[in-house]
Amino acid sequence: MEETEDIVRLDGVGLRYGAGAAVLHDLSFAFPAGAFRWLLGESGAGKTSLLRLLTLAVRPTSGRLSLFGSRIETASRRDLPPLRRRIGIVFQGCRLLPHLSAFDNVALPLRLAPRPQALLRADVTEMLRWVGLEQRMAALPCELSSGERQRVAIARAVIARPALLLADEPTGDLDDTQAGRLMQLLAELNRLGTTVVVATHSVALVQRHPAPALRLVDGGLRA
Amino acid sequence: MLKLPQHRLLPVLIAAMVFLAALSGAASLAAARLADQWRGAADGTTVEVPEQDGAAVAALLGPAAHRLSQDELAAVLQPWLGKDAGRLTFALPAVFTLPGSPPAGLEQALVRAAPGALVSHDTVWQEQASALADSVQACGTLTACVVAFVAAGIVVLATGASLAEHQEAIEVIHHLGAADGLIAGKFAARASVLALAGAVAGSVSAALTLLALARLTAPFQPPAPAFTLAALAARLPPAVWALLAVLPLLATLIGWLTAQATARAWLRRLP
Ligand SMILES: Nc1ncnc2c1ncn2[C@@H]1O[C@H](COP(=O)(O)OP(=O)(O)OP(=O)(O)O)[C@@H](O)[C@H]1O
Ligand SMILES: [Mg+2]
Repeated sequence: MEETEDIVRLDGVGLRYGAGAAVLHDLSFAFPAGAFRWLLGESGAGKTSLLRLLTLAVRPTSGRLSLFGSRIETASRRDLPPLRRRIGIVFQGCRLLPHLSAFDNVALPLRLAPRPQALLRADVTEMLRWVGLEQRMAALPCELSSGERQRVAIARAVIARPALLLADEPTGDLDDTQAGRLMQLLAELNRLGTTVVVATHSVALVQRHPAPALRLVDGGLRA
Repeated sequence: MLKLPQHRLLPVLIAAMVFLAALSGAASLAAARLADQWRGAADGTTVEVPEQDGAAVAALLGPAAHRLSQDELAAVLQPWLGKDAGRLTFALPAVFTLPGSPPAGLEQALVRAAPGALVSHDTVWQEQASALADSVQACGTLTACVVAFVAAGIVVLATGASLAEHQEAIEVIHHLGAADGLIAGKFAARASVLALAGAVAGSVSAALTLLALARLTAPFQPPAPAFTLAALAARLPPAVWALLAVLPLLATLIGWLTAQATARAWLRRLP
């Protein structure tokens, strides 16, 4: 255990997919607990790749990465699931399970957590009300609009009160009102102590919600 | 949580495997029983001569030999000739039994005293018969191994297909923090239920087949009493019923273990 006050810490982290060229190189930064960070960069700069590192979807090919004080490069596979359950993810493209209703998609993280299931229905219903989908709980993802799917994905990401929330273009499919409500929700989670990282192209969104930003250019960090 | 599609092929193939295993297992058990009976039989020599040479041969063989009475002969012949074997119109041969191997020079002496005499020594056919029984049993064991191997292969293929079909959903659940054991457990539960269903069907078909075969051997058995469940159960030895009950459990276990191993190996590709 080291630097427990930093939720995320990177030291000279690089990432390459297979035998290809490095898509991320020599990244060094830390997010203290409770931080809010924008992740900016052109298309192809490596935002999704960096978020994949932080969601433990890939491991760094060089450098050192710690999440919640645990070293990731050296961790065994069996140590990762409990770490993943402390991370909320809004994937680029939602990635809802097509056979499950909106309700069951949102309930997934609670069902995977070792916690009493008694309050599950109330918690999930409350969460869906928050994102304005209490009337659509039984709908399958294919029966929802892309904006509604995005809101289900957001509800799923935050339902288990993650310590770290990572969102990849979460407002991509939302209108301005919905995007505003989403930012309110993220700000509230952040105020409750969740560390939030949001990757986006939207300059307008960043201007409306000023916060420190990491800027990626060709897989490297620009101040 | 994961809704897997119906794999109709898995239960059908497992049913076929259990059917094969049950039939070959029943054959092995029957062979083992026969081998035991034959090995337990007295070690002796049987001499069979035409009826008119009976007295001469009795003198030749001496007091150690026992000549079978009409009743004893009838009892021996009854399975083949029925209850009336004792009242046959044609002449039965004189049959003698004597303990141990044939005495030296017996065959030459018989050729002179009773041409056409048949001498058979139990241990010769007994050894052949028990060697046959042993090889039937060995074949049964081999068949069981091959069947178990093929059944495991079927489960590997079915589980692999199912994993590939649900790859996207599995990856999402994995990213949400599901441990390998939880995901593999879903697939193992599914595979073992399908294997159990197929195996029960296979076992029931095998039971029906064996009962039908048992009817063919009915002439060797006491006359069938009224049709009851107990009478039906008595048609097959308890060991065969036990086999028919154990096979579905074994198939379920194979399904569970193989699906667990397959799913865990597959999941190891994810970070
Ligand atoms: N699985 C992969 N295998 C190989 N190369 C990849 C893979 N995923 C991404 N890349 C490459 O890595 C680079 C960074 O991609 P990434 O998806 O991280 O960009 P991004 O900043 O999220 O872009 P966008 O804003 O368009 O989503 C790109 O050049 C991309 O082609
Ligand atoms: Mg991206």
